[in-house]
Amino acid sequence: MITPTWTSGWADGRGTGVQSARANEHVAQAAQPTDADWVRAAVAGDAAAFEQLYRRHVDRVFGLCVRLVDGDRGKAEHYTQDVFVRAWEKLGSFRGEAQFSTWLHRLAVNLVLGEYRLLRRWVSFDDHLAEQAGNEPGHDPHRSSGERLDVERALARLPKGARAVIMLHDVEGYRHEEIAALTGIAVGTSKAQLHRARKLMKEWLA
Amino acid sequence: MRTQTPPDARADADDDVIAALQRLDLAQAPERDLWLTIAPRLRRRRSLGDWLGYAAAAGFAGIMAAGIWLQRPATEAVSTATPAVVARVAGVVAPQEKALLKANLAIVKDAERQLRYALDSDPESASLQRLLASVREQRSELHQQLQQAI
Repeated sequence: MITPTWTSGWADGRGTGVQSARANEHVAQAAQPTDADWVRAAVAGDAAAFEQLYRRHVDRVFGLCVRLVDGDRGKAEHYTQDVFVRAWEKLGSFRGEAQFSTWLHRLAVNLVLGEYRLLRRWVSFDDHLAEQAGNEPGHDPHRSSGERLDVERALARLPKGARAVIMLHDVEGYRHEEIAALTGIAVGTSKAQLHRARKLMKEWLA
Repeated sequence: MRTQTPPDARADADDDVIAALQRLDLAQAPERDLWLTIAPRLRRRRSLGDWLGYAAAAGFAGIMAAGIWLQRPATEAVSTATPAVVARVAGVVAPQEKALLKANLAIVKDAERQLRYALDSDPESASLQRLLASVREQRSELHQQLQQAI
């Protein structure tokens, strides 16, 4: 089994008092293997190193999946597992230009929204409903007027397509072109969904 | 009647929404340890040794099959052949040659099995697929030779 190796310039024990304590802190920090260390070991076939990457990133990946699949935690668990299995298979293609977490999140978005074309379906479905209702998009008949929501509840209340786009654009930092390329929706649709999501959020948070 | 919001106010409100979203803690722990179901799904990553093993198996099978092929008498040599060779061309094959063919067949089958195993780990590998096709061809040739020999 290959385990990551790392070196510390502070490991010679020099320094006293506060300096020494700070040095020890640095030693502790420097001694922590980075994602890049674990990735190198995992690429060489070390599943234990990959488990370390899983432990570090699972909560953020799961949280992203939960929001992308409309709060369905069962589905989110299923997707999270698929994301890590796919990451293991594709780890050799990770070149380290971006952070590992960015690469992993992209993989998750691609798997959940791109591969299964969920966003495309949601967006069409939302538009269809809006047309049928004859209302402006996002009108929520169950919401009493003047009700103020917190951010989490407001986000959860958004239509699926609008929520996915605002998550990707405003939280994950994707550009509209990237969202379009990843999920198969048009750039204009992505912009429209973002506009709609922000408008609803503003109303609900006001 | 709707009032027109000034563009600056709209931008500020957008910023508020974005800032509020970015303050959200997006991490959520799953209720169970998903690693327990992920770990068995991770395919063993191929090491260089595995690749060399597969290549060696396929290569060795190829060499052996080629050796058998070269041992076959050329048809133009029949006129000057010994009675034993004439008999062989007529369909009678020495028992040791049959044994050699069978041994080669076993080697080629083993190489094919190993290549299939390797392909399970890496179904997209073009080089493994080529090796498998080549080994299958060798197996088929050896089968034909063996059938002719019986």
